[in-house]
Parts: sequence; C-alpha cells; structure tokens
Amino acid sequence: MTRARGSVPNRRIRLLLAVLVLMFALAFGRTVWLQGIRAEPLARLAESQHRQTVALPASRGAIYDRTGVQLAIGERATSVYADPRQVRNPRAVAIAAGQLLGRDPDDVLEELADRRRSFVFLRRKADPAAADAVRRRGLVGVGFLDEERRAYPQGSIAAHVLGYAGLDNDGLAGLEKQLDPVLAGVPGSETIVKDPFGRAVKVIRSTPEQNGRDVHLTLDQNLQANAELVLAKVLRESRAKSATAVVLDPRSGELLALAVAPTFDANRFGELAAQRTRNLTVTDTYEPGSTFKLITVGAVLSEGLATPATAYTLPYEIQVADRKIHDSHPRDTERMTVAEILSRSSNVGTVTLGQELGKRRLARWIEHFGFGRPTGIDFPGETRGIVLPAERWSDSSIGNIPIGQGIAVTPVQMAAAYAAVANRGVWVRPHLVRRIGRGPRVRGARKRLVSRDVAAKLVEMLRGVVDEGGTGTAAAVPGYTVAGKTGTASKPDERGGYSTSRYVASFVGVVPASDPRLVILVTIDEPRSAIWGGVVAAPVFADLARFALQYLEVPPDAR
Amino acid sequence: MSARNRELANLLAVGVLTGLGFASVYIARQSEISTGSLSYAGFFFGLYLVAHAVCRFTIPYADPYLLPMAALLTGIGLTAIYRLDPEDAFRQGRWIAISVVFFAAILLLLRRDYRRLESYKYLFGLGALVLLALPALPGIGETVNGARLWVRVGAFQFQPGELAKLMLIVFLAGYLREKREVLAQGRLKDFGPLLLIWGGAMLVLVQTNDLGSALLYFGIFLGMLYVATGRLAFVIAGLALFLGGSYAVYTFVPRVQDRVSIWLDPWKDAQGAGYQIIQSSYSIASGGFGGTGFGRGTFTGTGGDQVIPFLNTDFIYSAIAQEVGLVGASALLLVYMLFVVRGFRTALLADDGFSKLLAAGLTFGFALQTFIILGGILRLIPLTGITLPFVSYGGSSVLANFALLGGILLVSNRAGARGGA
Repeated sequence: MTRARGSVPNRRIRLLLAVLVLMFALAFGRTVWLQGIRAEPLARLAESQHRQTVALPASRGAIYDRTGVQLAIGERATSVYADPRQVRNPRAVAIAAGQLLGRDPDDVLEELADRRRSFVFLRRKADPAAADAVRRRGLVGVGFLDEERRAYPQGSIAAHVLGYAGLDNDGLAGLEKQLDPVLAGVPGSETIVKDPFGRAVKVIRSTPEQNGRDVHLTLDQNLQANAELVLAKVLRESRAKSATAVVLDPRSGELLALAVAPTFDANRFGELAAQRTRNLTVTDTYEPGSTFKLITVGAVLSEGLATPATAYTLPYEIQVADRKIHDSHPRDTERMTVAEILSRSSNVGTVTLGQELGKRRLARWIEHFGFGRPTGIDFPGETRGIVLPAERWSDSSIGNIPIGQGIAVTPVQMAAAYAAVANRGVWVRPHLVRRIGRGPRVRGARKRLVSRDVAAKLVEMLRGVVDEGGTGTAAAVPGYTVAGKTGTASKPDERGGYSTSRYVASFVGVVPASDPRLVILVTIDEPRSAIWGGVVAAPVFADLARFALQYLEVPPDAR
Repeated sequence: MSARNRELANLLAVGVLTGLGFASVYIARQSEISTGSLSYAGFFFGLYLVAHAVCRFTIPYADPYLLPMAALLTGIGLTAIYRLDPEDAFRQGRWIAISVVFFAAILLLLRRDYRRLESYKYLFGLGALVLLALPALPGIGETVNGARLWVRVGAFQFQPGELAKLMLIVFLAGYLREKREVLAQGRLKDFGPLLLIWGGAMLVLVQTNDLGSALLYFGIFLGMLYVATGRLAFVIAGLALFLGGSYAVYTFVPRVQDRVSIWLDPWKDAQGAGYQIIQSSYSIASGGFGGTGFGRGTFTGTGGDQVIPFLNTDFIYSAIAQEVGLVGASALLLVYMLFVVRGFRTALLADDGFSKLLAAGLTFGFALQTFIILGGILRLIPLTGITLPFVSYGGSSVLANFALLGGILLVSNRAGARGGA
C-alpha cells in the first residue's frame, strides 16, 4: 500500500467506503426482503388487487314477423355513469344530467355526494346522441358504456304478444320471456388483470360470448296491425272493456294475428300495470256461450246419435233440474233439425242434444276438443280454462254446459277447436314461432278430433249461421263463403249468478268455407252499444276476413 | 499479465455476457423483434474495443477492472432498454457511442497531467452553478414530470445537473485541497463556504422539488469535506442543517410532502400517488429468486402500455430485478459495489491531495447516486427522479458517467504509473 504523503489520510477514505458498503448492504437486504421473503404475499396482492372478471354481454336475438319485418331488435344505447370519487365538479355533472339525460339535478347531486360509492348510473341506456352531448362537455369522472337496448320498432303492434325485455336484456314477459333461452344467447366472460387506471394489463381467461338467435314468428305484421286497428275501432264504438281477435291458419296451426285491445306501446311495457299488458287470448278465459254449441253438435254427430237432418220437437222453454232453459227469442214449439238448432242457436235444442249424449260422453268430448287443458301454445302463462269433470257436474249442469255456460275457455282454445273442424277434423297445436335462427320450420302437433265426414257436415251447418235466417249474417264476406257461429254469453256476477247487463259477445268463423284458409275468432268484453255477438262481433269478423283474404290473395269461392 | 491485457480479457468476458443477454431477449421475444438485435452485442463489443485501444494508448497503467465493469453495466442497461423498447435502445446505443468518443477525448486531452484542472477550479465551480441554474431559465428550462431538471435547445434536450455534479466534484477537489487546513481549524468564519453550499443545495431542492438531487450534491460536498478535513463535526453539523432545511422546505412545498408521505405509506393511495412505487414493488417481488428470464417479464398491458411509468429511466432496476431475480439483482449490486471499491482503491493509491479528493469525490458521487435511486425504488428513502448510473436510459447520464469513469481512470493511471515505475 502506497504511503499517503500526509496530505489526505487514507483512514477517512476507508471510513467513507465503509459507510457506503453499509448503505449498499441495506439496499441488498431490502432486495432480499422483497424478492425472497415478501415475494409470495406481494405477488398474491398484485394479482388480487387488479384481477377482475368482466362479462361480455351477448347481443339479444331479434324477433321478426313471418315476412321479415322487425318486431323487436337490439338498438345501440349508451349508459352514462359517474364515479363520485373522481367527479371534480358535481354541479356541472348534475346540470348536464338534468339538461341532457332528463334527470332531476338535485337527485344526481345527492348521489354524487356519496363518496363511498365509485359507480352510479346517471342514465341507463340513454340515447347515444344525448350521451354524446354529455361526452362533449368533457366532465371529469363521467364515463360511458356501450350497451344494447331492446326496441320495438312497430310500436304497439303485437305488443301483447312480444312482451318485454328488461334493462338487463332479460325477457320478462310474453314471447321475450318464452324465447329468452333462444334470444338471450350466452354471455362470455373475460378475467383480466387491470392497472389502477383501469387499463387491461393481461387477459387470464376468456370465454367468448354467444349471441342470441333471431326468431321468426308466424304473425303477419300487416294482419296484426289491421286486427289491432279494427279492434280499436270496435272498442271505441261499442265502448267495451276489451276485445280480442285470433287469426289462425287451420291447416298449419300458425297464428297470423293475435290481437288485444286496448293496445299500448311495446317500448313502454315496463311502465304499465300488468293487467294492461296481459295477452288475453292466452292468459284469460271467457264463457263461450253459443259458439260452444259446435262441440255439443260435433259430439252428437260423432257418436252417431243424429245427422244434421235429424229433427226434434222443441218447446220455447224446458225445465232442467232447478233451472228453466229457454231460447234467446220467444217462439212457439216447433220442429228443428240439428242443422237448424245450430244455425238458429237454439238453447233448448242444444241442451236436448246434450241430454241425449249424457254428461259423461259430453264431458269426454269437451276434453277431446281441447278444453280444460292448455293447448301448449308457445306463449308463457297459458291458462287451461275452467271445465268441471263429469263427477262434479250438478244436476243442472247438463242444462248449461252444452250451450257454453258454466265453462270457461281461452280465445285460443276456441279458435283451435274451430280450426280442427275447418282442417277436416284434425286439430293442430296453435303456435307463434315459425322458425328459430336458421332452423327448420316449426310444425304444430296434430290430433284427429272428429272424422272428415263429421267435420265437413259441421262446416256445412255453420254456413247456415251466416246465411239468411241465421244469427251471424253480419259476418258475410262478399265473394267468399263463410262458416261460423255467434256467441253472446252473460258474464258470471259476484253473487254466483249471471249478470243481466254484462256480456261477452263473440264470433268465430271459417273462411272460405269450401276450402278453409283462415279461422278468425273475435271476442268483445262488455260491449255497451249492443250485446249480441251477431251484431257486435260478426261485423268485426267480416272486416278482418275481408282484409286478410285480399291480403293473402285467397281466390273467392262464391259469387 | 499487464493491466491492459487483463482489461481486454475482462472486456471479452463482458462481450460474451452481453451477447448472451441479447440472445436470450431475442429467444424470448422472437415474435416481436428481429435478428437485428443480435448485432447490438457485436456493435457494443466493437465500441468497447475502441475504448480499450484508447486506454492502451493514453492510460496504460490504469485500473483494469473499471472499464469492463462500466461496459457490463451499460450492457445490462442496453439489454433491458432494448427489451422494453428497441427504439429507445437504438437511441441509447447512439448515446453510448457519443459517450465513448467523449471519454476518449477526455483521456487524450488530459493524458499528460489531469492535475492542471485544479487551476481552473473556480471556473468549474462557476460552470456547475450556471448549469444548475439553466433549467430555471425561462425559454430553455423544462419541467418534466413536476421536476425542473431539463434544458431544451431546439430538439436537443439534456439534464445539466449530471454534468454539474462532475464540475462540482472537480471544483471541490481543488478548493478543499487548498483550503482544507484552514477549514480544519474550524473557526466560525470558515463555515462560510459550507453555509454557501448548503444554501445552494436548498436552492436546488426548492427549484427542482427534488430531494434526491439536493441530497446528492450536498452529500458529495459533505463526503469530500470530511475526507479533506477529517472533522466529523462538519459532517454532523452539515447533516443537521440539511435535515432542518429539508424539513422547512417539506412544510411548504406540497410536492415534497407527497413524496415523503408516499414513502411512508404508499398503500394509502395505492391507485394514485403510491401507484408507481407499489407497481415497482410488485415487479421486483414477482421476479422471485431466479427471475422470469430476460425478455420474459411482464411490464406492459395488453394494449402495449407500460405498467410502471418511467420504467426505463428511474425504475429500470425494477424491470431488471423482475427478469433476473434475486440472484441477478444481487450480482448487479455487487458490480456497483466492486466499481465503488475500485474507485476508492484508486483514491487510496493516489499520492496527492487533489487526486485523492478527485477520485474519492467521483467515486462517492457515483456510489451516492446509485444508492439514492436504488434506495428510492426499494423504499429505503423517499423516491427521487435520478438515474441509475450506466444502466438507465438517458443521454446526459451516460455521457456524465463516462466522463466520471475517465476521471477515475486518469487518477488510477497516474498512481499505477508511479507504482509500476
């Protein structure tokens, strides 16, 4: 070692070096601490702090009518949210939300004051243009989220059928609910590690979303719109509570229109009372009254107890147990054929036929025609109706069930029963979905109800209803033969009896009768102008049939 | 084996290591980078052969380990920078080339006798002051990330503080050699210069808002003052003054307060102010014992954005520690330690006061800077925005460190020549 010439003692330099070595030892120790001892817990902390699983929403399938018109679609929407902890100017945010998003600024201010929360929606699924206007204000702490909003471009058309999908794109009612598994798709998910600024650092696991499939309905937008229009008109004119119309293709069971009045805007489904949005054709029942006589007559013919020409001597009034049954209009005792019983809608005649059948056989035929159990239509919340089993019939039941009293059915059940007769005796399950995605066409289940021969005779007899002297002459459609039946049923009142002022007027018809293409059922609940099915409901049928036959270009079968 | 042959052998080893480093980055990131990366090692090795040749010619008796260690550090740095961003590595490589030229120029200019620098000590002192003041000047001074440390003239941007540090050391070496006896007597009026430099350090602190730079300048001064006078009292008094002054600054400069509170508890604001240091801790910790391997660490998000801000400058140690693990990080610390030991050995071997003070000052400055940034990253002391010598990305830093290396080597050569003769 060189001797320092007394100038600067090396001892001091060594001391300085020692101090530095100590400092480096400290740094080394700290590295060992971080990488050796604390490595595991820090690594766990690093992952857990920022790991986040985000859902990748699947877009909801659209709903089309049978011709490809959009009935329900996913629309681009932008949700606007704020992070109260990052908002610098809550007043400006509140004002923007008030001016552009339709919020009450005071509410927003209150929400933003809660600093414990880091996420509040200013407006869920706002109009993208409004969201853009907010974006342009450049507010700190306000964020935007692209979402899909369910929209019903046709407004009120088929609103009762389509139902409603909620804010989270889940089907809550109607077909949206029924078809949710198909429409919804499967959301994907992505587990990502995020840095504190919310930027994704790496993707750990990712499952891609599967978008929902589109659904094509059997409904025809034009027929549906026309049905709703016509019902709205009759509702106005008759000052009725509600009205329904079912337009069914008897050959396929496809529902071409399923209308309920009053209507509402499907986009506002969520805001309305459930009562208002019920699809009455499926979820509600009515006493069918005379339209039900077809079932009694069908049963009598099928059992071989009579032919359409078999004649009976019928007084105006007969006694059944404790009840008196009489026809709707006073008349003398006369002989009527089975065909006349149906076309003139004789209560006494039909009850006589019912008595000939006996309650057991009649009950079996009622069940056979599909009453008292769901049709299995692809719509949620279908009711089975109210049909008493034979063993619970009272002595007077045979006096009212054959003529459609003391029994409750849905419009769709009734339309399907008439469609079976129209379809040469073969019942086809009514349905609303024609095709799912690119899948095959949906076919309804089939079941023979009556023989071809009986079916032909029933249709022929129903033609008499619309002919001169029948109850349903107002249902006539120029150029086409119509087979149908009127119905006027007084509604059960609270005291267990029947109301004398509240009725359900209905008409169900088959057209063209020679080669049935359509079955149309119209029910009008509590009309105030006139109560008779032949007066109130039959013209509605005629309106609907005329439009539909023309629209579908069905060749006329009459002069 | 002569000193220069030993140096050459060491450089060959460093060349092989650097080649291996680039090769492993290439293997890990083949999908993103080209075989061109491998040429970096060759270019780099050639550059150091040139430096070696200049050394052979100018300073044949100098320490044979300092240049290879500097080469190793720049090699590690360049590999790490290349791994983070090849374009940055290209710029850094250019700066290393410029720095080697600068290094060679210093050696050539001062090869006869560097001690004539002593006569220009006041010029150096003045130069240091001017350089320190530059960033404060409007028009050319620039604030980067809250610290006013930069000067921009046209497209040219540099940190004058790095060179000011060297000039300060040269000035102090000359000044203290001359005045050390007077100072050692410890009369009250002799505290004048001490107070002056303390005031300067405080000014730097207030101006740059950077505790680390102030600590570096004042630390260098205290270290050299102690070596020159042997009065521990000065050091203690100086430290007390510094702490007192820093506390005063702390009370009214919010940015300094932030730095300190982050240091004390980064988790308090883990998503905001504490973010950088916490991410750095995660990065270091995730390296574990053996590291992820060169090129295999995680520093960027899926979007390609960097997770830790200033990763290739202030935080390059965090990146290296993750990829090479505890083993590699310890080795890196060891290289720094060895560099410091060789530097102090040079100071010990020097036979005149100026040389001793110069070598000790340069080495001490180098060591203190290394410790301040490492200590900041490792959360031993509040974090500071200064570079890790030779390793961090940054032109001014590399240039200054090569000048520093040149200075130590010149002193070493003189001592070696005398020893050998």
